[in-house]
Amino acid sequence: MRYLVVCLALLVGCASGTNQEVGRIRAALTPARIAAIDVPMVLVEAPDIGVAATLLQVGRNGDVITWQTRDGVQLSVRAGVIVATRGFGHDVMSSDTSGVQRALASRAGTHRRVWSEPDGDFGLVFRYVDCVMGIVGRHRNDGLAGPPMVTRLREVCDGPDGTIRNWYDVGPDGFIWASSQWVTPQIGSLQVTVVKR
Amino acid sequence: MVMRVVAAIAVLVGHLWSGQAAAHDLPPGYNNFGVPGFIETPNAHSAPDADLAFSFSRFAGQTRSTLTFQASPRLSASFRYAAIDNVRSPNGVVYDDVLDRSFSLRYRLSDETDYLPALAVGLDDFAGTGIYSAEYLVATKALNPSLSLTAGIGWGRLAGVGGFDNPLGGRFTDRSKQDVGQGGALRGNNLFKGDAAFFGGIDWQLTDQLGLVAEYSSDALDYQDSGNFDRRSPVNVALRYAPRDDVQISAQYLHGSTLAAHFAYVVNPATSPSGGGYAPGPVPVVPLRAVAPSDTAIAAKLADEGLRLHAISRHPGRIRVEVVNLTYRAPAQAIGRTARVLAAHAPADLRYFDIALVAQGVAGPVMRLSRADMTQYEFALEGAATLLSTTQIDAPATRPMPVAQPIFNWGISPYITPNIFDPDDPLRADIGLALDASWSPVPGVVIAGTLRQRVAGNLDQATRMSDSVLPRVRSEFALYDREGDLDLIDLTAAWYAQPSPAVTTRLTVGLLEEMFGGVSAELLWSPDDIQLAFGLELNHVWQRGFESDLGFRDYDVTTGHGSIYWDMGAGYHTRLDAGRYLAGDWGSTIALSREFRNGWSVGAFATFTDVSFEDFGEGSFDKGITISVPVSWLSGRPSRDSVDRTIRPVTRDGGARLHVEGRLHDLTRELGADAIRGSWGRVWR
Repeated sequence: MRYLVVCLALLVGCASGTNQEVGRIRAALTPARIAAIDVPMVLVEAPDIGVAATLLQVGRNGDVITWQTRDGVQLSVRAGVIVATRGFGHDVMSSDTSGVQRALASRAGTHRRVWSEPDGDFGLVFRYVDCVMGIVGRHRNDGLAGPPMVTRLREVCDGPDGTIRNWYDVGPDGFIWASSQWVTPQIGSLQVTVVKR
Repeated sequence: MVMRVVAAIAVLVGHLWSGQAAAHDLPPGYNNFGVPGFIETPNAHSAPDADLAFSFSRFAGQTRSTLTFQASPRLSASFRYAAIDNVRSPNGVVYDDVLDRSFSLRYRLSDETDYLPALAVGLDDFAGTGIYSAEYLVATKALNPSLSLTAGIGWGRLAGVGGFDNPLGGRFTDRSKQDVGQGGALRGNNLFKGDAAFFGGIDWQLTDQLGLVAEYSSDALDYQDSGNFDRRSPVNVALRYAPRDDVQISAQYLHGSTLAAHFAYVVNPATSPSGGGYAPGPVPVVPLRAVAPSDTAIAAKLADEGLRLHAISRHPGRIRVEVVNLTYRAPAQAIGRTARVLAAHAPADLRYFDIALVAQGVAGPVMRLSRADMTQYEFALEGAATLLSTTQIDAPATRPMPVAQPIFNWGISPYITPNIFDPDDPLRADIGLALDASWSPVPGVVIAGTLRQRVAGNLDQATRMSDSVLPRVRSEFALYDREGDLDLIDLTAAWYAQPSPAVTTRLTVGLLEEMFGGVSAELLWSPDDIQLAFGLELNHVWQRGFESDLGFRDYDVTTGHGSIYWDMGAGYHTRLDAGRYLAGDWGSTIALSREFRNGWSVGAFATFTDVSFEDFGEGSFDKGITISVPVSWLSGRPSRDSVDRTIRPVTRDGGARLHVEGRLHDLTRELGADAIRGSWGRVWR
């Protein structure tokens, strides 16, 4: 019910996660509408597959928050880093993000990302990439919420399937207000923007 | 002796499975016979393991449709249906419009290495009329990632041009003339006999999508060139275009005189177009909001997940539930979603969840998951494996807890009943609507029926009458199709029981299938510690009337089988049935299949009974292939439905087995510990 109220407050409907024009929801999230939202919310855009949706929290297990669209697509995030997805089809089933979290905290360094994907025959395939984290610089926060200035960190990973480039816009307290994180070859990158912390 | 045979089969299975894909980057390419090859000749490449290729070629009055399955990395099997104009038989008679079914097998003997070519042996049309009968030994070597050469030696059809005395000599010197008899029988006495000839080709991959192929074909096309075209040259050329990984199109110039086209479409059952599927995400183990933890609320939450609560009981520190999996192909996913609902909504003092899947009152093993482990491993990298290692697995409960209420289900869905091998019209089908209903008043008792209303189709136009000399238990199928538009397909009452954890029983009475009604009793013993299960089924049935109503004809028979089911590992399964078939004939059936955890299955079967090949009629003995495609694989949405097809070259009366819904091996397998473990990769899905 609360979700419905939020959706009505936005007047854009909450995206079903399919065939939603990327950018339309972002444009509809005006400061006035965001101010009316009273629950944590993120906007997730998948430019490579052309879908976007707002997500609300449905679970919190330790430091992992699970966000969900109205039609059940889920994104589980640990301190701003995606650890699992559900409902995209070619999902991240599980991952070890300890390396990237250390690198984010120190804003530099090398680390390994390891994750598993469904293999099509009810099994799991494990993959990894080796990454380098570095600071791009401070810039004006062009996200939907947060401080006026953020620090952009860039993560570049080389793996057997090619190069992955992620970025994170981090506030002074280390909170990630927006990011672009590569998930799987079929989904590509997910841009996660905090609408309401 | 038996141990020796089992050991030999185990070694063979090991070899089948051990092969690696050939060490080349070229796509395997399918030839006009639908097997890996160039244009009309084969090469030694294999398709990727588990590829299922649908191949169509057309030239000069011949249309060949072939289904080829890469059954293991080394072994592939093909079933082919060809329509050929103007076939000239060895005695000179020319037949119009021959519809010919044939099988092929090929085996890659050795893999390609840096210095040695891949080597394969193949048998074409070894059990049909023999129009395409050939054997070959072929070698292929990639010179670089885009260029490969092939050379081979062929017998039979492949020894028509440039033939020479058989190098095998001795009793291989002469190949007997074609004597097709009733067709369908194995003609092993001709294998690798008669003259031999060389063939070969070159495959040049110009770009990722475009390839140029040229071959020297030793096929003289003796049977097919009467009036359709002139065979002027043994050299064929083709331009091959692969716009996607799963599509191959080629334009060809054959035998110096005619143009041809070929199309192949490939699916791989071991991969899924939708990855893990588009099902909504599961209930978080620790949700933001939990419901009031009543049994009714838990049942409602399970229903949201596509699971029906069958029974529930609370004990100190733990809660026990039995659920009916209505939705998920992977039993582990049903268990995982049940556990999530309990973790999210059951009171916190219940630390363990005992979960069993139930179908028709028969229960699977009890999986005891701990709330603490679920919370700890929900997002762990190896969370699925770790959760399995901490899950206690106990034997099934033999007395399921009482069900809360009787269950009634019904649904209306479209149906299609194709009949693809009628010689008068090889593509007939009916479509319509089917009403399915079932009522389970108490656990283990199911009353069910299917009513079909035909809407459109042409099955009723089949006019070919049975010429069978046996009791016509199947060969009059066209009369069932023709009579009546509203058909009562089945109407049964069944009682399932589980007298011990490893033993299940079934008793079914009523209209068992479209053609027979009566009583069917079955017992299955599935010992926990071996990969074998043993079944016994006894039926007495009466033949139903052609109108598919409540009427019967004047034929009844006692039929039944002893069955051994062998899970050979790596997805390979064998079933052996021995007993009495519907026409009163005694014999046995061997069925081999490769089954994938996602629900795909591809198999073949053959039945030999005391009916002679002559009395059996066309085809000589009952045989066919089976394909099962899970709807969830096609749609990406969770579903337990599948599209099942049995393709028989000919439907006759010998070796015909009764169809009964709810046979115990299928029912219990999907509840069992092996199926749960095999699908455990989806427990967190």
